[in-house]
Amino acid sequence: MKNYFLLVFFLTALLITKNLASAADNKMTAEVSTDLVQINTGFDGMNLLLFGTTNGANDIIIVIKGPLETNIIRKKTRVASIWINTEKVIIENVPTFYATASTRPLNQITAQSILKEYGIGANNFPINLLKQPNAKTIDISDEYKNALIRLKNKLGLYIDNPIKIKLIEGQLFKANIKFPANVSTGEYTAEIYSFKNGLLLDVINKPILVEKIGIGADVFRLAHSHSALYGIIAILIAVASGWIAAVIFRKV
Amino acid sequence: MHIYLPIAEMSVNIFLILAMGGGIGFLSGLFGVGGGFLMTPLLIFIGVPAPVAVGTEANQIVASSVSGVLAHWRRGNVDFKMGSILLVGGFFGSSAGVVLFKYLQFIGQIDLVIKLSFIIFLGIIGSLMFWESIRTIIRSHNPSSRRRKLHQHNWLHGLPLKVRFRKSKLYISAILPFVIGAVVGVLSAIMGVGGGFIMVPAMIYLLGMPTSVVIGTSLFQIIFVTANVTFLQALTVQTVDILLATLLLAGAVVGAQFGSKYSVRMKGEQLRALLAIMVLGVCIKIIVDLVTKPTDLYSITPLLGG
Repeated sequence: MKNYFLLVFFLTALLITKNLASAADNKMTAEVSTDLVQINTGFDGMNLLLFGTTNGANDIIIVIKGPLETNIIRKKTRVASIWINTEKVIIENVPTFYATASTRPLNQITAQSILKEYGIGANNFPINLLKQPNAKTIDISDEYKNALIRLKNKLGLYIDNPIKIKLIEGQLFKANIKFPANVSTGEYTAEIYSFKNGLLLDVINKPILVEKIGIGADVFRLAHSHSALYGIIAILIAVASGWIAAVIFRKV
Repeated sequence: MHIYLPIAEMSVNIFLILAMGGGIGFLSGLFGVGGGFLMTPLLIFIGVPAPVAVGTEANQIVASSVSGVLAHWRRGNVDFKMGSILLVGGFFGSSAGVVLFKYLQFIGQIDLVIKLSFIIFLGIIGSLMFWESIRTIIRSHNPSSRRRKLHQHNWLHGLPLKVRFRKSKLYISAILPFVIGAVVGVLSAIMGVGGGFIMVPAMIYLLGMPTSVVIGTSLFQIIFVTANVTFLQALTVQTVDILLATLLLAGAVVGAQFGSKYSVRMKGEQLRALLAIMVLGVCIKIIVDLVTKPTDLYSITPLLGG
Protein backbone atom coordinates (compact mmCIF):
# COMPACT_ATOMS: atom_id res chain seq x y z
CA MET A 1 0.00 0.00 0.00
CA LYS A 2 2.78 2.38 0.97
CA ASN A 3 4.49 1.61 -2.31
CA TYR A 4 1.32 2.40 -4.21
CA PHE A 5 0.95 5.88 -2.75
CA LEU A 6 4.62 6.50 -3.33
CA LEU A 7 4.15 5.52 -6.95
CA VAL A 8 1.15 7.80 -7.48
CA PHE A 9 3.05 10.66 -5.90
CA PHE A 10 6.15 10.16 -8.03
CA LEU A 11 4.23 9.67 -11.25
CA THR A 12 2.28 12.87 -10.73
CA ALA A 13 5.48 14.74 -9.96
CA LEU A 14 7.16 13.23 -13.01
CA LEU A 15 4.28 14.13 -15.31
CA ILE A 16 4.46 17.76 -14.21
CA THR A 17 8.24 17.97 -14.65
CA LYS A 18 8.02 16.20 -17.97
CA ASN A 19 5.68 18.81 -19.37
CA LEU A 20 8.11 21.50 -18.28
CA ALA A 21 11.18 19.81 -19.73
CA SER A 22 11.81 19.87 -23.44
CA ALA A 23 10.72 16.73 -25.20
CA ALA A 24 13.84 16.74 -27.36
CA ASP A 25 16.38 15.47 -24.81
CA ASN A 26 16.50 11.75 -24.28
CA LYS A 27 17.02 11.80 -20.52
CA MET A 28 14.66 9.43 -18.82
CA THR A 29 14.00 9.43 -15.11
CA ALA A 30 13.73 6.40 -12.89
CA GLU A 31 13.25 5.61 -9.24
CA VAL A 32 13.28 2.51 -7.03
CA SER A 33 10.70 2.10 -4.24
CA THR A 34 13.51 1.45 -1.79
CA ASP A 35 17.29 1.43 -1.99
CA LEU A 36 17.61 -0.60 1.18
CA VAL A 37 16.32 -4.17 1.50
CA GLN A 38 16.50 -5.30 5.11
CA ILE A 39 16.46 -8.97 6.02
CA ASN A 40 14.96 -9.33 9.48
CA THR A 41 13.73 -12.43 11.29
CA GLY A 42 10.38 -12.35 9.49
CA PHE A 43 11.89 -11.82 6.01
CA ASP A 44 10.12 -13.83 3.32
CA GLY A 45 11.24 -12.02 0.19
CA MET A 46 10.00 -8.63 -0.93
CA ASN A 47 8.69 -6.78 -3.95
CA LEU A 48 10.76 -4.02 -5.41
CA LEU A 49 8.93 -1.40 -7.43
CA LEU A 50 10.76 0.46 -10.19
CA PHE A 51 9.17 3.31 -12.10
CA GLY A 52 9.97 6.39 -14.15
CA THR A 53 9.39 8.29 -17.37
CA THR A 54 10.34 6.87 -20.75
CA ASN A 55 10.89 10.22 -22.44
CA GLY A 56 10.27 9.08 -25.96
CA ALA A 57 11.64 5.57 -25.67
CA ASN A 58 9.39 2.74 -26.72
CA ASP A 59 11.15 -0.05 -24.85
CA ILE A 60 12.56 -0.35 -21.35
CA ILE A 61 14.80 -3.08 -19.94
CA ILE A 62 15.57 -3.31 -16.24
CA VAL A 63 18.47 -5.45 -15.00
CA ILE A 64 18.97 -6.09 -11.29
CA LYS A 65 22.31 -7.62 -10.43
CA GLY A 66 23.51 -8.98 -7.10
CA PRO A 67 27.09 -9.03 -5.81
CA LEU A 68 29.48 -11.31 -7.71
CA GLU A 69 30.65 -14.68 -6.40
CA THR A 70 32.67 -17.68 -7.54
CA ASN A 71 30.77 -20.93 -8.05
CA ILE A 72 31.71 -24.52 -8.66
CA ILE A 73 29.49 -26.44 -11.08
CA ARG A 74 29.83 -30.20 -10.75
CA LYS A 75 28.60 -32.82 -13.15
CA LYS A 76 27.54 -36.31 -12.17
CA THR A 77 28.33 -39.35 -14.26
CA ARG A 78 27.57 -42.98 -13.68
CA VAL A 79 30.42 -44.86 -12.02
CA ALA A 80 29.88 -48.49 -11.02
CA SER A 81 26.10 -48.05 -11.21
CA ILE A 82 25.92 -45.04 -8.86
CA TRP A 83 25.83 -41.37 -9.82
CA ILE A 84 28.77 -39.38 -8.48
CA ASN A 85 30.38 -35.99 -9.13
CA THR A 86 33.21 -36.56 -11.57
CA GLU A 87 33.75 -33.28 -13.43
CA LYS A 88 33.84 -29.71 -12.25
CA VAL A 89 34.23 -26.23 -13.59
CA ILE A 90 34.90 -23.10 -11.56
CA ILE A 91 33.00 -20.04 -12.71
CA GLU A 92 34.05 -16.57 -11.62
CA ASN A 93 32.10 -13.29 -11.65
CA VAL A 94 28.74 -14.97 -11.21
CA PRO A 95 26.07 -12.57 -9.98
CA THR A 96 24.37 -14.07 -6.90
CA PHE A 97 21.11 -12.61 -8.19
CA TYR A 98 20.13 -11.60 -11.71
CA ALA A 99 16.69 -10.39 -12.75
CA THR A 100 15.58 -8.79 -15.97
CA ALA A 101 12.27 -7.16 -16.74
CA SER A 102 11.37 -5.70 -20.10
CA THR A 103 8.52 -4.37 -22.19
CA ARG A 104 9.00 -7.17 -24.76
CA PRO A 105 11.23 -10.24 -25.05
CA LEU A 106 14.85 -9.01 -25.13
CA ASN A 107 15.61 -10.19 -28.68
CA GLN A 108 12.64 -8.22 -30.05
CA ILE A 109 13.84 -4.99 -28.43
CA THR A 110 17.35 -4.77 -29.81
CA ALA A 111 20.15 -6.63 -31.58
CA GLN A 112 22.01 -9.47 -29.89
CA SER A 113 25.28 -7.57 -30.27
CA ILE A 114 23.97 -4.73 -28.11
CA LEU A 115 22.61 -7.12 -25.46
CA LYS A 116 26.02 -8.81 -25.38
CA GLU A 117 27.90 -5.51 -25.17
CA TYR A 118 25.97 -4.35 -22.13
CA GLY A 119 25.62 -7.81 -20.60
CA ILE A 120 21.85 -7.71 -20.66
CA GLY A 121 20.21 -11.09 -20.00
CA ALA A 122 21.68 -13.97 -18.00
CA ASN A 123 22.99 -15.55 -21.24
CA ASN A 124 24.91 -12.44 -22.15
CA PHE A 125 26.47 -11.73 -18.80
CA PRO A 126 30.26 -12.00 -19.00
CA ILE A 127 31.05 -14.76 -16.52
CA ASN A 128 34.48 -16.30 -16.41
CA LEU A 129 34.76 -20.06 -16.86
CA LEU A 130 37.91 -21.70 -15.56
CA LYS A 131 38.31 -25.15 -17.07
CA GLN A 132 39.50 -27.83 -14.70
CA PRO A 133 42.08 -30.42 -15.76
CA ASN A 134 39.64 -33.29 -15.15
CA ALA A 135 36.98 -31.92 -17.50
CA LYS A 136 36.75 -34.30 -20.45
CA THR A 137 35.13 -32.25 -23.18
CA ILE A 138 37.05 -29.50 -24.91
CA ASP A 139 34.28 -26.99 -25.43
CA ILE A 140 32.48 -27.01 -22.14
CA SER A 141 31.54 -23.38 -21.86
CA ASP A 142 27.96 -23.57 -23.16
CA GLU A 143 27.15 -26.78 -21.33
CA TYR A 144 28.22 -25.44 -17.95
CA LYS A 145 26.94 -21.94 -18.51
CA ASN A 146 23.50 -23.32 -19.35
CA ALA A 147 23.62 -25.53 -16.27
CA LEU A 148 24.52 -22.51 -14.13
CA ILE A 149 21.62 -20.46 -15.44
CA ARG A 150 19.18 -23.36 -15.11
CA LEU A 151 20.25 -24.14 -11.51
CA LYS A 152 20.15 -20.49 -10.43
CA ASN A 153 16.76 -20.18 -12.10
CA LYS A 154 15.47 -23.15 -10.13
CA LEU A 155 16.65 -21.47 -6.92
CA GLY A 156 14.61 -18.41 -7.88
CA LEU A 157 17.76 -16.31 -8.12
CA TYR A 158 17.77 -15.78 -11.91
CA ILE A 159 14.54 -14.34 -13.16
CA ASP A 160 13.56 -13.41 -16.69
CA ASN A 161 10.48 -11.24 -16.93
CA PRO A 162 9.68 -10.39 -20.54
CA ILE A 163 6.58 -8.18 -20.96
CA LYS A 164 6.75 -7.43 -17.23
CA ILE A 165 7.12 -3.68 -17.67
CA LYS A 166 3.94 -1.74 -18.30
CA LEU A 167 4.08 1.46 -20.28
CA ILE A 168 1.44 3.92 -19.18
CA GLU A 169 0.28 6.22 -21.97
CA GLY A 170 3.62 5.61 -23.65
CA GLN A 171 5.34 7.95 -21.21
CA LEU A 172 5.58 6.26 -17.84
CA PHE A 173 6.78 2.81 -16.93
CA LYS A 174 6.57 0.66 -13.84
CA ALA A 175 7.75 -2.83 -12.94
CA ASN A 176 7.53 -5.07 -9.91
CA ILE A 177 10.50 -7.31 -9.26
CA LYS A 178 10.41 -9.93 -6.54
CA PHE A 179 13.40 -10.48 -4.32
CA PRO A 180 13.16 -14.08 -3.08
CA ALA A 181 13.77 -15.01 0.57
CA ASN A 182 17.16 -16.58 -0.23
CA VAL A 183 18.88 -13.45 -1.65
CA SER A 184 22.41 -12.84 -0.42
CA THR A 185 23.44 -9.64 1.25
CA GLY A 186 25.56 -7.02 -0.43
CA GLU A 187 25.47 -4.23 -2.97
CA TYR A 188 23.02 -4.65 -5.83
CA THR A 189 22.51 -2.43 -8.86
CA ALA A 190 19.39 -1.73 -10.84
CA GLU A 191 20.26 -0.78 -14.43
CA ILE A 192 17.46 0.82 -16.43
CA TYR A 193 17.96 0.94 -20.20
CA SER A 194 15.69 2.84 -22.58
CA PHE A 195 15.51 1.92 -26.27
CA LYS A 196 13.90 3.54 -29.27
CA ASN A 197 13.52 1.44 -32.40
CA GLY A 198 16.30 -0.86 -31.23
CA LEU A 199 18.74 1.95 -30.39
CA LEU A 200 19.93 2.56 -26.86
CA LEU A 201 18.87 6.02 -25.69
CA ASP A 202 19.84 6.20 -22.05
CA VAL A 203 21.01 4.20 -19.03
CA ILE A 204 20.37 4.91 -15.37
CA ASN A 205 22.10 3.04 -12.50
CA LYS A 206 20.50 2.83 -9.08
CA PRO A 207 22.28 1.16 -6.16
CA ILE A 208 20.30 -1.10 -3.82
CA LEU A 209 21.74 -2.38 -0.56
CA VAL A 210 20.59 -5.72 0.86
CA GLU A 211 21.53 -6.17 4.50
CA LYS A 212 20.60 -8.20 7.53
CA ILE A 213 19.18 -6.42 10.54
CA GLY A 214 17.93 -7.35 14.00
CA ILE A 215 18.76 -10.44 16.03
CA GLY A 216 19.43 -12.52 12.92
CA ALA A 217 22.11 -10.07 11.80
CA ASP A 218 23.70 -10.12 15.27
CA VAL A 219 23.73 -13.92 15.27
CA PHE A 220 25.32 -13.99 11.81
CA ARG A 221 27.94 -11.40 12.75
CA LEU A 222 28.82 -13.20 15.98
CA ALA A 223 29.11 -16.54 14.15
CA HIS A 224 31.59 -15.05 11.69
CA SER A 225 33.59 -12.59 13.78
CA HIS A 226 33.75 -14.49 17.09
CA SER A 227 33.39 -18.09 15.93
CA ALA A 228 34.81 -19.70 19.08
CA LEU A 229 32.56 -17.66 21.37
CA TYR A 230 29.58 -18.48 19.14
CA GLY A 231 30.36 -22.21 19.34
CA ILE A 232 30.56 -22.05 23.13
CA ILE A 233 27.27 -20.11 23.33
CA ALA A 234 25.60 -22.69 21.06
CA ILE A 235 26.74 -25.50 23.38
CA LEU A 236 25.68 -23.64 26.55
CA ILE A 237 22.20 -22.94 25.13
CA ALA A 238 21.85 -26.62 24.21
CA VAL A 239 23.00 -27.86 27.64
CA ALA A 240 20.75 -25.39 29.47
CA SER A 241 17.65 -26.19 27.42
CA GLY A 242 18.26 -29.93 27.70
CA TRP A 243 18.58 -29.56 31.46
CA ILE A 244 15.46 -27.40 31.76
CA ALA A 245 13.46 -29.86 29.63
CA ALA A 246 14.51 -32.76 31.86
CA VAL A 247 13.53 -30.85 35.01
CA ILE A 248 10.14 -29.71 33.64
CA PHE A 249 9.09 -33.13 32.39
CA ARG A 250 10.27 -35.04 35.47
CA LYS A 251 7.18 -33.86 37.32
CA VAL A 252 4.73 -34.70 34.56
CA MET B 1 4.38 -18.06 9.79
CA HIS B 2 7.85 -17.79 8.35
CA ILE B 3 11.13 -17.21 10.10
CA TYR B 4 14.46 -16.31 8.53
CA LEU B 5 17.31 -18.57 9.63
CA PRO B 6 20.43 -16.40 9.99
CA ILE B 7 23.08 -19.06 9.23
CA ALA B 8 21.19 -21.29 6.80
CA GLU B 9 20.22 -18.00 5.08
CA MET B 10 16.75 -19.15 4.15
CA SER B 11 13.18 -18.59 5.20
CA VAL B 12 11.31 -21.56 6.65
CA ASN B 13 7.87 -22.20 8.05
CA ILE B 14 8.24 -22.16 11.81
CA PHE B 15 5.52 -24.82 12.29
CA LEU B 16 7.18 -27.18 9.81
CA ILE B 17 10.39 -27.08 11.85
CA LEU B 18 8.52 -27.54 15.15
CA ALA B 19 6.58 -30.47 13.64
CA MET B 20 9.80 -32.07 12.37
CA GLY B 21 11.36 -31.70 15.81
CA GLY B 22 8.20 -33.13 17.40
CA GLY B 23 7.98 -36.09 15.01
CA ILE B 24 11.63 -37.08 15.33
CA GLY B 25 11.44 -36.41 19.08
CA PHE B 26 8.50 -38.81 19.32
CA LEU B 27 10.48 -41.53 17.54
CA SER B 28 13.56 -40.92 19.66
CA GLY B 29 11.46 -41.15 22.84
CA LEU B 30 9.79 -44.29 21.51
CA PHE B 31 12.95 -46.11 20.50
CA GLY B 32 15.52 -44.49 22.80
CA VAL B 33 17.70 -43.27 19.92
CA GLY B 34 18.90 -39.75 19.21
CA GLY B 35 17.15 -39.43 15.88
CA GLY B 36 20.03 -37.57 14.21
CA PHE B 37 20.19 -40.22 11.50
CA LEU B 38 16.63 -39.27 10.52
CA MET B 39 16.79 -35.52 11.17
CA THR B 40 19.92 -34.74 9.14
CA PRO B 41 18.56 -36.28 5.88
CA LEU B 42 15.19 -34.59 6.56
CA LEU B 43 16.80 -31.15 7.00
CA ILE B 44 18.71 -31.60 3.74
CA PHE B 45 15.46 -32.67 2.09
CA ILE B 46 13.66 -29.41 3.03
CA GLY B 47 16.51 -27.40 1.51
CA VAL B 48 18.87 -26.69 4.41
CA PRO B 49 22.44 -26.80 3.00
CA ALA B 50 24.08 -30.14 3.98
CA PRO B 51 26.91 -28.57 6.06
CA VAL B 52 24.39 -26.46 8.02
CA ALA B 53 22.19 -29.54 8.59
CA VAL B 54 25.16 -31.49 9.98
CA GLY B 55 26.49 -28.68 12.23
CA THR B 56 23.07 -27.69 13.55
CA GLU B 57 21.95 -31.25 14.19
CA ALA B 58 25.11 -31.85 16.27
CA ASN B 59 24.10 -28.84 18.37
CA GLN B 60 20.56 -30.14 18.86
CA ILE B 61 21.82 -33.60 19.87
CA VAL B 62 23.86 -31.98 22.69
CA ALA B 63 20.57 -30.77 24.18
CA SER B 64 18.58 -33.97 23.72
CA SER B 65 21.45 -36.05 25.16
CA VAL B 66 21.74 -33.80 28.24
CA SER B 67 18.02 -34.14 28.81
CA GLY B 68 18.19 -37.93 28.30
CA VAL B 69 21.27 -38.61 30.40
CA LEU B 70 19.83 -36.99 33.55
CA ALA B 71 17.13 -39.65 33.89
CA HIS B 72 19.70 -42.45 33.49
CA TRP B 73 22.08 -40.72 35.91
CA ARG B 74 19.40 -40.63 38.61
CA ARG B 75 18.91 -44.38 38.22
CA GLY B 76 22.69 -44.91 38.38
CA ASN B 77 22.83 -46.29 34.84
CA VAL B 78 25.88 -44.34 33.66
CA ASP B 79 29.34 -45.94 33.67
CA PHE B 80 31.42 -42.77 33.89
CA LYS B 81 34.76 -44.59 33.67
CA MET B 82 33.80 -46.37 30.45
CA GLY B 83 32.12 -43.19 29.17
CA SER B 84 35.30 -41.16 29.75
CA ILE B 85 37.50 -43.54 27.74
CA LEU B 86 34.91 -43.64 24.95
CA LEU B 87 34.78 -39.86 24.87
CA VAL B 88 38.58 -39.43 24.79
CA GLY B 89 38.46 -41.58 21.66
CA GLY B 90 35.43 -39.60 20.54
CA PHE B 91 37.31 -36.30 20.84
CA PHE B 92 40.11 -37.54 18.59
CA GLY B 93 37.68 -39.12 16.15
CA SER B 94 35.33 -36.17 15.86
CA SER B 95 38.18 -33.66 15.50
CA ALA B 96 39.64 -35.75 12.68
CA GLY B 97 36.12 -36.08 11.27
CA VAL B 98 35.63 -32.30 11.05
CA VAL B 99 38.94 -31.95 9.15
CA LEU B 100 37.91 -34.81 6.85
CA PHE B 101 34.50 -33.16 6.34
CA LYS B 102 36.14 -29.94 5.21
CA TYR B 103 38.42 -31.81 2.80
CA LEU B 104 35.57 -33.86 1.29
CA GLN B 105 33.56 -30.68 0.88
CA PHE B 106 36.50 -29.16 -0.97
CA ILE B 107 36.80 -32.03 -3.46
CA GLY B 108 33.01 -32.17 -3.91
CA GLN B 109 32.43 -35.67 -2.57
CA ILE B 110 30.88 -34.86 0.83
CA ASP B 111 27.34 -35.70 -0.29
CA LEU B 112 28.48 -39.05 -1.66
CA VAL B 113 30.44 -39.93 1.50
CA ILE B 114 27.52 -38.91 3.75
CA LYS B 115 25.17 -41.11 1.72
CA LEU B 116 27.54 -44.09 1.53
CA SER B 117 28.19 -43.91 5.30
CA PHE B 118 24.45 -43.91 5.94
CA ILE B 119 23.91 -46.88 3.61
CA ILE B 120 26.70 -48.96 5.15
CA PHE B 121 25.85 -48.31 8.79
CA LEU B 122 22.08 -48.19 8.56
CA GLY B 123 22.17 -51.33 6.38
CA ILE B 124 24.34 -53.38 8.75
CA ILE B 125 22.68 -52.22 11.97
CA GLY B 126 19.15 -52.37 10.58
CA SER B 127 19.63 -55.94 9.34
CA LEU B 128 21.27 -57.13 12.56
CA MET B 129 18.59 -55.53 14.72
CA PHE B 130 15.79 -56.86 12.54
CA TRP B 131 17.20 -60.39 12.60
CA GLU B 132 17.79 -60.30 16.36
CA SER B 133 14.32 -58.98 17.21
CA ILE B 134 12.55 -61.47 14.93
CA ARG B 135 14.51 -64.28 16.60
CA THR B 136 13.48 -63.00 20.04
CA ILE B 137 9.83 -62.75 18.99
CA ILE B 138 9.93 -66.33 17.66
CA ARG B 139 11.75 -67.58 20.74
CA SER B 140 9.24 -65.95 23.11
CA HIS B 141 6.60 -68.26 21.60
CA ASN B 142 8.90 -71.18 22.34
CA PRO B 143 9.67 -71.25 26.09
CA SER B 144 12.56 -73.79 25.96
CA SER B 145 15.21 -71.06 25.46
CA ARG B 146 18.66 -71.35 27.00
CA ARG B 147 20.13 -68.78 29.31
CA ARG B 148 22.83 -66.64 27.68
CA LYS B 149 26.32 -66.15 29.05
CA LEU B 150 27.12 -62.67 30.41
CA HIS B 151 29.30 -62.09 27.35
CA GLN B 152 31.42 -64.01 24.90
CA HIS B 153 35.20 -64.13 25.34
CA ASN B 154 37.26 -63.61 22.19
CA TRP B 155 40.66 -62.32 21.03
CA LEU B 156 39.60 -58.73 21.84
CA HIS B 157 39.89 -59.60 25.52
CA GLY B 158 43.56 -60.44 25.11
CA LEU B 159 44.68 -56.86 24.35
CA PRO B 160 46.99 -55.03 26.82
CA LEU B 161 46.17 -52.02 29.10
CA LYS B 162 43.42 -53.84 30.95
CA VAL B 163 41.14 -51.74 33.12
CA ARG B 164 38.40 -52.80 35.54
CA PHE B 165 34.97 -51.26 34.87
CA ARG B 166 32.92 -51.96 38.01
CA LYS B 167 29.60 -50.62 36.80
CA SER B 168 29.79 -52.59 33.54
CA LYS B 169 31.16 -55.68 35.34
CA LEU B 170 34.03 -55.85 32.83
CA TYR B 171 37.81 -56.27 32.92
CA ILE B 172 38.95 -55.38 29.43
CA SER B 173 41.61 -53.44 27.52
CA ALA B 174 41.10 -49.65 27.41
CA ILE B 175 42.19 -49.71 23.76
CA LEU B 176 38.88 -51.25 22.72
CA PRO B 177 36.50 -48.51 23.99
CA PHE B 178 39.00 -45.87 22.81
CA VAL B 179 38.92 -47.20 19.23
CA ILE B 180 35.12 -47.55 19.24
CA GLY B 181 34.81 -43.98 20.54
CA ALA B 182 37.15 -42.71 17.83
CA VAL B 183 35.37 -44.51 14.97
CA VAL B 184 31.95 -43.28 16.12
CA GLY B 185 33.43 -39.78 16.57
CA VAL B 186 34.53 -39.64 12.91
CA LEU B 187 31.06 -40.76 11.77
CA SER B 188 29.42 -38.28 14.14
CA ALA B 189 31.27 -35.37 12.51
CA ILE B 190 30.67 -36.52 8.94
CA MET B 191 27.09 -37.70 9.21
CA GLY B 192 25.74 -35.15 11.73
CA VAL B 193 24.51 -37.86 14.05
CA GLY B 194 25.11 -38.61 17.72
CA GLY B 195 26.17 -42.10 16.76
CA GLY B 196 24.01 -43.84 19.38
CA PHE B 197 22.72 -46.26 16.77
CA ILE B 198 26.29 -47.45 16.18
CA MET B 199 27.60 -46.96 19.72
CA VAL B 200 24.85 -48.96 21.44
CA PRO B 201 25.27 -52.19 19.41
CA ALA B 202 29.08 -51.81 19.62
CA MET B 203 28.89 -51.57 23.42
CA ILE B 204 26.60 -54.60 23.68
CA TYR B 205 28.16 -56.89 21.11
CA LEU B 206 31.85 -55.82 21.03
CA LEU B 207 32.45 -54.71 24.63
CA GLY B 208 29.87 -57.00 26.21
CA MET B 209 28.44 -54.29 28.49
CA PRO B 210 25.19 -55.02 30.35
CA THR B 211 22.18 -53.49 28.51
CA SER B 212 21.09 -51.51 31.59
CA VAL B 213 24.10 -49.14 31.50
CA VAL B 214 24.50 -48.98 27.73
CA ILE B 215 22.01 -46.20 26.89
CA GLY B 216 23.02 -43.90 29.78
CA THR B 217 26.75 -44.31 29.09
CA SER B 218 26.29 -43.80 25.37
CA LEU B 219 24.25 -40.60 25.97
CA PHE B 220 26.89 -39.35 28.41
CA GLN B 221 29.68 -39.58 25.86
CA ILE B 222 27.49 -38.33 22.98
CA ILE B 223 27.04 -35.01 24.85
CA PHE B 224 30.77 -34.34 24.73
CA VAL B 225 31.41 -35.63 21.24
CA THR B 226 28.56 -33.63 19.67
CA ALA B 227 29.58 -30.57 21.73
CA ASN B 228 33.06 -30.95 20.22
CA VAL B 229 31.59 -31.27 16.71
CA THR B 230 29.38 -28.20 17.31
CA PHE B 231 32.36 -26.16 18.49
CA LEU B 232 34.66 -27.20 15.65
CA GLN B 233 32.00 -26.73 12.94
CA ALA B 234 31.17 -23.30 14.37
CA LEU B 235 34.86 -22.41 14.45
CA THR B 236 35.95 -23.67 11.03
CA VAL B 237 32.96 -23.41 8.70
CA GLN B 238 30.34 -21.35 10.66
CA THR B 239 27.53 -23.77 9.91
CA VAL B 240 25.78 -23.98 13.30
CA ASP B 241 22.39 -22.25 13.20
CA ILE B 242 21.40 -21.54 16.81
CA LEU B 243 17.89 -20.48 15.82
CA LEU B 244 17.21 -23.65 13.82
CA ALA B 245 18.67 -25.82 16.60
CA THR B 246 16.49 -24.13 19.22
CA LEU B 247 13.30 -24.59 17.16
CA LEU B 248 14.06 -28.26 16.49
CA LEU B 249 14.83 -28.72 20.15
CA ALA B 250 11.56 -27.18 21.32
CA GLY B 251 9.61 -29.61 19.15
CA ALA B 252 11.81 -32.58 20.03
CA VAL B 253 11.52 -32.14 23.80
CA VAL B 254 7.72 -32.34 23.69
CA GLY B 255 7.70 -35.15 21.10
CA ALA B 256 10.13 -37.24 23.13
CA GLN B 257 7.85 -37.16 26.19
CA PHE B 258 4.93 -38.57 24.22
CA GLY B 259 7.23 -41.10 22.58
CA SER B 260 8.55 -42.46 25.85
CA LYS B 261 4.99 -42.79 27.23
CA TYR B 262 4.01 -44.88 24.22
CA SER B 263 7.13 -47.01 24.44
CA VAL B 264 6.05 -48.33 27.86
CA ARG B 265 3.04 -49.98 26.22
CA MET B 266 5.10 -51.91 23.69
CA LYS B 267 7.41 -54.91 24.00
CA GLY B 268 11.15 -54.33 23.58
CA GLU B 269 11.54 -56.74 20.67
CA GLN B 270 8.53 -55.24 18.86
CA LEU B 271 10.06 -51.78 19.26
CA ARG B 272 13.40 -53.02 17.96
CA ALA B 273 11.74 -54.68 14.96
CA LEU B 274 9.89 -51.42 14.15
CA LEU B 275 13.07 -49.37 14.53
CA ALA B 276 14.93 -51.87 12.34
CA ILE B 277 12.29 -51.53 9.60
CA MET B 278 12.55 -47.73 9.77
CA VAL B 279 16.37 -47.82 9.65
CA LEU B 280 16.28 -50.18 6.65
CA GLY B 281 13.67 -47.95 4.99
CA VAL B 282 15.95 -44.89 5.21
CA CYS B 283 18.83 -47.03 3.94
CA ILE B 284 16.89 -48.29 0.90
CA LYS B 285 15.68 -44.75 0.11
CA ILE B 286 19.30 -43.52 -0.02
CA ILE B 287 20.39 -46.47 -2.20
CA VAL B 288 17.55 -45.76 -4.65
CA ASP B 289 18.59 -42.08 -4.78
CA LEU B 290 22.17 -43.04 -5.61
CA VAL B 291 21.41 -45.49 -8.42
CA THR B 292 18.59 -43.65 -10.19
CA LYS B 293 19.58 -41.00 -12.70
CA PRO B 294 19.31 -37.58 -11.01
CA THR B 295 16.85 -35.12 -12.59
CA ASP B 296 19.71 -32.66 -12.97
CA LEU B 297 23.22 -33.99 -13.52
CA TYR B 298 24.71 -30.66 -12.51
CA SER B 299 24.94 -29.10 -9.08
CA ILE B 300 26.14 -25.71 -7.91
CA THR B 301 28.07 -24.71 -4.80
CA PRO B 302 29.74 -21.46 -3.84
CA LEU B 303 33.52 -21.67 -3.64
CA LEU B 304 34.46 -21.73 0.03
CA GLY B 305 37.48 -20.01 1.49
CA GLY B 306 39.38 -19.52 -1.79
